[in-house]
Amino acid sequence: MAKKGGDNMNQNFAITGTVTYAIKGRDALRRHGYKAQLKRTVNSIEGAGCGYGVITNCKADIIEVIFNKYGIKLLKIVEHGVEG
Amino acid sequence: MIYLDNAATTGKKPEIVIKSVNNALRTMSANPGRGGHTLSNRASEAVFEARQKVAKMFDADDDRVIFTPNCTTALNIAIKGVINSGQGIVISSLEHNAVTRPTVTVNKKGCPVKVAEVIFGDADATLRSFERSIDKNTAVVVCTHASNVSGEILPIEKIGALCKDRGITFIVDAAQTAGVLPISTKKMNIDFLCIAPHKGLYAPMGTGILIANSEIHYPLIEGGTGVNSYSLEQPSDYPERLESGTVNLPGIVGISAGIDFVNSKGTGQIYLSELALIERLYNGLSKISGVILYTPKPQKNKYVPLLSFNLRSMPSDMVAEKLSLMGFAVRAGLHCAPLAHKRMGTIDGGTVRVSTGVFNNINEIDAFIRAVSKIKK
Repeated sequence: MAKKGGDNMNQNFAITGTVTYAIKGRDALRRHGYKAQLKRTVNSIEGAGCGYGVITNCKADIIEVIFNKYGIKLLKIVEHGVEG
Repeated sequence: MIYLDNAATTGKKPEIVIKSVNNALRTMSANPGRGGHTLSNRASEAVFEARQKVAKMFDADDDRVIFTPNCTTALNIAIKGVINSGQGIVISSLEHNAVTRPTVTVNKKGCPVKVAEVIFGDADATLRSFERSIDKNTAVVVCTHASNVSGEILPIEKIGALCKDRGITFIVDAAQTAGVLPISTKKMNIDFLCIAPHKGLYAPMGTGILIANSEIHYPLIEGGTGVNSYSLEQPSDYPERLESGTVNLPGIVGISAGIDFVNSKGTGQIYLSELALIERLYNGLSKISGVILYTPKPQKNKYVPLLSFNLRSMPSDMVAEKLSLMGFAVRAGLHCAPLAHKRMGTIDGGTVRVSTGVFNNINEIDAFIRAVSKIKK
């Protein structure tokens, strides 16, 4: 089955902070047909320190909608490779 | 050894739990929620899976499932974490020291404590007792779901409704009931559910769970959580807010497997089969002269599967010692619950407590009855 968002895996990095939210976010994105992988973020949030997030091919605005739907806290979304 | 001390911890653990704990130590021995490497992520996934299973079993949100070292820690986090100086607290007259001692501590900080008398065999009268104890200053009610001494089940759904109606935080000690009786934290209006998974969920000892449906203002333990490290303050996100330090990964994987085990048998079925053994024990002991029983014959939905008794002619700890020499594991004394013994009239010397588990059978109960009869002679 073709995944949504095409083959570009490294499109966005949705930073959640906690690993719990990151796993929930990854699972939510996958349920909606997107590719999503758990990733550790070291010092990727200015002034915040370590944390976790999800690399996904889902667009930023859709990530926000999906995370909001499942009550998953989202700190920020960055283009993967720019931060994290 | 015939193990009949399952209210302390289920003595025999299912093979699936033992294998899962072993597998966790072999294949995911890393710190969950800390590193970004494969092993750490595998451990994080296992912890999250356990959270989901706990949340499903007790009708809660998975990020509100907190893993603790034991049920006592869960109760301390809840009791000390929600109450402010000057606010009142009400507890039942059957509470374990895991509740009474933290309550004494908050009392010393200016929180008045009232004890609501449990009326044995009358849930409505017990509810009225709570109603009388609650006043306009009451901020927290703490109640055991079932006594670890008498086995009496308390009407927590009704007490939860009362607390919701009055805007009071409701903390439930489910040490004797989680995995034994169905519990919905949402339907029962439970703000904090404290669980001993090494009992009714057949997990390893050294495990506990707090389901925190409401806010903890003052975390008992603060420290590293693997996130937000620049901040010197404890994070506000759950479960990390209440899970500082490395969690007990093998134990948590054991909880996960224990839930699978209980679900495979069916919570209701385990309860009924264990209670049937206690009923058989009750019948047998009641025929031995000199045996004192403290409750009516345990009935479904009124008692959890445990029974306290004494011999008229011998202290409880001596009876337990003799039984131990004959190959039976039971618990004597006060069971860390002096309030309950005071209520039962057994504060001087306590009782011998027998508690069944899923692996006990009729033959073991019959052998136990014969052993008590022999001691009596």
